[in-house]
Amino acid sequence: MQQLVNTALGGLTLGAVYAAFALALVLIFRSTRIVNFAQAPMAMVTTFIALTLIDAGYSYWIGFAAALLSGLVLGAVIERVIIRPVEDKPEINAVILTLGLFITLHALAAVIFGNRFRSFPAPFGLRGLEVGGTTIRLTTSGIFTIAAVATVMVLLLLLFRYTDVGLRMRASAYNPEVARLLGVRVGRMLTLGWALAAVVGSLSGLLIASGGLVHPGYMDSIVVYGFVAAVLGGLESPVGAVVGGLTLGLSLSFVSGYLGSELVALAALLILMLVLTLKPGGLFAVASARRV
Amino acid sequence: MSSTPSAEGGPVPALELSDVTVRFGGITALSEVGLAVRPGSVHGVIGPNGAGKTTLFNVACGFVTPDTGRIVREGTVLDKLAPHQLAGLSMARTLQGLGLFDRITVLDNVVVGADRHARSGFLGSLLALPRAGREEKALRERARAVLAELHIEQYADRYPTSLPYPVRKRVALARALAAEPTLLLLDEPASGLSSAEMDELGDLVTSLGSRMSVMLVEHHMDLVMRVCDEITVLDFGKVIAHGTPDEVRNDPAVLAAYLGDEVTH
Repeated sequence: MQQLVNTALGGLTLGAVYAAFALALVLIFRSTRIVNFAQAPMAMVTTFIALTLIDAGYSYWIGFAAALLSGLVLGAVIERVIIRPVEDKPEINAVILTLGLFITLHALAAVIFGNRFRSFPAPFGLRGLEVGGTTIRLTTSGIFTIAAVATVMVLLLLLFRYTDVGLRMRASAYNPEVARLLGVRVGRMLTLGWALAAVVGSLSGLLIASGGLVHPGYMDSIVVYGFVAAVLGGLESPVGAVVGGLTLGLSLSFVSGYLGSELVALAALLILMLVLTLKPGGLFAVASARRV
Repeated sequence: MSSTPSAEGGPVPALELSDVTVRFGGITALSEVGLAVRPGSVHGVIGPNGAGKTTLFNVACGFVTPDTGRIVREGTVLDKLAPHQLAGLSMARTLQGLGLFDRITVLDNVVVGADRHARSGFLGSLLALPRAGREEKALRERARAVLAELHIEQYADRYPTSLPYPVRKRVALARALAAEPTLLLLDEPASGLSSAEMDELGDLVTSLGSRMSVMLVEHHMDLVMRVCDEITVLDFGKVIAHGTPDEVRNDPAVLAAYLGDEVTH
């Protein structure tokens, strides 16, 4: 029983991180049809910015805020400078540019921040909480992770559902031509989408790093899991991304806890194949033919 | 852009097209076409299939750049008109394919149309500053008022895909009207409507004519004759007649090219 609870709690924490990363991928994909492979190194860079500040003596929270803010700027700049020029070209052009960016950011980070493992502090304790006399596998940091992702999710939902900017972003995503006709500055909405995605990506980078080691390549495996989570959710729906992330986190945690941790990557692949075979549009597929 | 006085010295037209020629490859879709939409009037463009009506409409809203010719909006020459400029020029158009956002509610579809008046930036909206909140509320109220005017307010919270075609057409029209244009371009508004619905549409367009200028491209003769103040008739990309409905109806060239065509078929 205790193992079951622990495995589930561990999975939930892990799932929250995947969810954040998947959310970042979905925010860009739904409006541009681009899978942003550079999301991982972007988050890595912003996490290093946080680490640099923390190492210089600033508090964890200053570093945290700086990482999110630099994510906002980085996302906007990348959209404007690198993605915008190929906006009218086939999506594959932009996807390949994000791969190039992946390599470039890696190399730059290795030069600037050093190609070695550095430890990243955790905002809260890493000791399991005690419930009814037994220690469970939920740490304060874990609770923070889940709460942070939930907060971001709710904020995004409020933004998209209830604000004017959110409405314009959705309109631009669903039909940029018509949106433009109605006077929506579609280009601006795309920049904003990239900026928001990069903030969420940065958050996932910080959450994964906390209490662990960072390295220019520390986010790379997350791309795979985040992508699987996004596909699970259908690549279009922010809610789907979060549910996909949690589902994946739980599944992988159970595989790791009961079958063996060496099977985790294989299980992720299996889940990806099952979803693509049985429900290619994802668990939250909305039957639609948006683009031909 | 430069200002030009109206040639006749009369009221400045809401929209003036002059000497518009459009070629697609070797085909001349429009040849030296000119028309002027008088302010506050409903101006119809009719013609048999393939006469160039849609091309002319697309020139008027910037989807097609003419090879030669001038587009003048309220006395201002538009050197290069692009679709995204329409809203800023107080122009709105409907699309034949409607172009509604399927996964956005009817009300929000209309709010997007009304949006050009919104001024709050991203941060304002994000932080839900009072000003942004007030503006959004005003937008929503205006959108609701337009829906009510078109008698479709009961569908405000539905999604367009779940609605019958005539209602969706009204939503598209409501979205165009929400921008409070001074010139409304209607592309085949009667297509797919029953004759009763077409009558309602006719009344609606007539009432719109008192608030704004309307350019209407349509092949339903009855509707055009009933609602338009002035009509331009196209055939094979050329203007073959121009005038009031009565003048056009009795024009021999029109009878031969258009009505005659219908009679013989």
